[in-house]
Parts: sequence; structure tokens; C-alpha cells
Amino acid sequence: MDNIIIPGTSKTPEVSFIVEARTLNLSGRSIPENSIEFYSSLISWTDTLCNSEGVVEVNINLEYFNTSSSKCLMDLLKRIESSNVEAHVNWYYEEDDEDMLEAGEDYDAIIDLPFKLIITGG
Amino acid sequence: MYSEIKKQQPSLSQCSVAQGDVVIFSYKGVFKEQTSSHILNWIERYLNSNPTVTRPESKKIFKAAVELIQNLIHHSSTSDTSFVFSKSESENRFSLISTNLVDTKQSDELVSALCAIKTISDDELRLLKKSVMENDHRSDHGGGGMGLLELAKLSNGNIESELLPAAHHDKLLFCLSVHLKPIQA
Repeated sequence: MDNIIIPGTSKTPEVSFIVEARTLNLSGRSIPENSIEFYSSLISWTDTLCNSEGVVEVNINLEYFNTSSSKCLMDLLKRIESSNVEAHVNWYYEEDDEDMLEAGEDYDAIIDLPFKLIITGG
Repeated sequence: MYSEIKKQQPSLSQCSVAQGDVVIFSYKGVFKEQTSSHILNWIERYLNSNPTVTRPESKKIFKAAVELIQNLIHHSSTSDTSFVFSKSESENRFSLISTNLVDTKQSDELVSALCAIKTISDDELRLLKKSVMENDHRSDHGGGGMGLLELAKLSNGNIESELLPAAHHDKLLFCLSVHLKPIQA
């Protein structure tokens, strides 16, 4: 199982999924036309990681995401939730970005994983 | 590409900007992925260079533009598709207007959905969006029908739709306007 490192673009997030650290980092923006295509390999990778023991840390620090990406993020988090692996999610949002704060609160309400909502300077 | 993005004075056709609004730009034609990228980059640069627009407001406008334009990519097989970005200083708002052809059969469902969304409160809208997010259902384009809910939420329900006759058989022109406030003084 290899790490996934993908540089960010104007439409897709920077991805840093590290096996040894068991961390999943997404940052930047996620507004691709075809989110399913972008996220499918990330979700498969997550499934594999969650088959092994150890705490998983998810860091989501997105400036923007489209509704299609929001479903993919939900899929990814649901896979972790259903795997019963110990995991926690850090959801970063810019100060004054109420929409991103609300989105984090909504994921927190739906997904049964410990969530931290962390304010950033913007 | 940028030659296709026209700065123009507002046209007063039925399916266009409100009287008194200033068109920042408009594009009419087939929407493809590259078109979408160019337009979104253009909007982002415009918003970033406009000191009267705060960052939270800029993000709302950009997010609404993403949803509208990406929707057009999926419903833009003809040149009847258009996107207009305008502002009204007298009403202190920006507007995003998309136009595309829809099947006559599909149009009633679309208008009913929009009417329903417009009548519910912000809290109800958030709950509805949450329930769609939670649902495993996806639309053909991956969003599970969340685009309209997102637009309603970003604009606090300030969305309007209109159906107009089209030259194509069994089709209507669907115009969707999203108004975002405020433009900071």
C-alpha cells in the first residue's frame, strides 16, 4: 500500500494520505466536475487502511467544495465510520466562514466519529 | 476564450438581468469543462480584485457560480445555454443567472422543487440538505440533487426561476436567477 500524494489544482484538493502516519489530509478546494472519479481511488485507499489496526486521523481543511464533493466526503467518512477503526476528524474552517462551519457541524451530526471543528485565520 | 466572455450593457430580454443591473460579464454557448474553468477563474479574479466584496461574500458568490456553471455543463448540449453575472448597486446585490433547455416533462418537477425550497425556512433548508447528504442516492452528476438546495442556502432563498418557450420541440428554456447580498458599501 503506497502513500497518495496529489498536488492541489484550481479545482481539486491537495491530497496527502500517509500509510505510516495513518493520516488523511485534504486541503485547498474540491470543485471538480466529476468528483466521483477523483475520490474513488481515495475511498478505496481508505478502505484498505481501515482494514489494519491503529488510530486514523482525518484532516479536512477545504476552502471550497461543491455539492458533488460533499457526497464523496460523506462516502469517505462513512467508510471509516463503518470499519470500526478508531478514528477522529479535524475539520478546519476559516474565521467568518459560517457555511464551512455549518458543513462541519452537519458532518459531525451525521457521522459517528469524534469531530473537532478548528478555526483558522483564513 | 475570453473573447467569448462579453462585457456588455444589460439586455432586457425576458430571460436576462433585471432592469438597472449592470452585467459584469455574460457567456452564451456550449459549456464544457474548459469553459467552466475559464469562467470560474474569471469570476474569482474579479471578486479578489474587488475591495468592496468581503471574503465570506466572495466565497458565497464563487460557490454559487460553481454550482450553476457545473450544472450547465451537464445540461448544455446546445448553444441555448447561457450564464450572466451582474450586480445591482441600488439593490445592493450580485446576481447569477443561468439559462438552459429542459424537457417539457421535466419542467413541472423542477419548478415545483424550486417553489418548495423557497417556502421553507433556513433551518428547514439545512435539515433538508443534511438529509440529502446522508442519503446514499446520487444523481447522474454525483450531487444527489443538492445543487438547488445549496443555491437556496447560499442566497437565503433569493432564487427565482422562469420557463420560457424555446424553438426546440418538447423543450423549454429554464432560467434560474440567484441573488446574493450584500455588496458591502
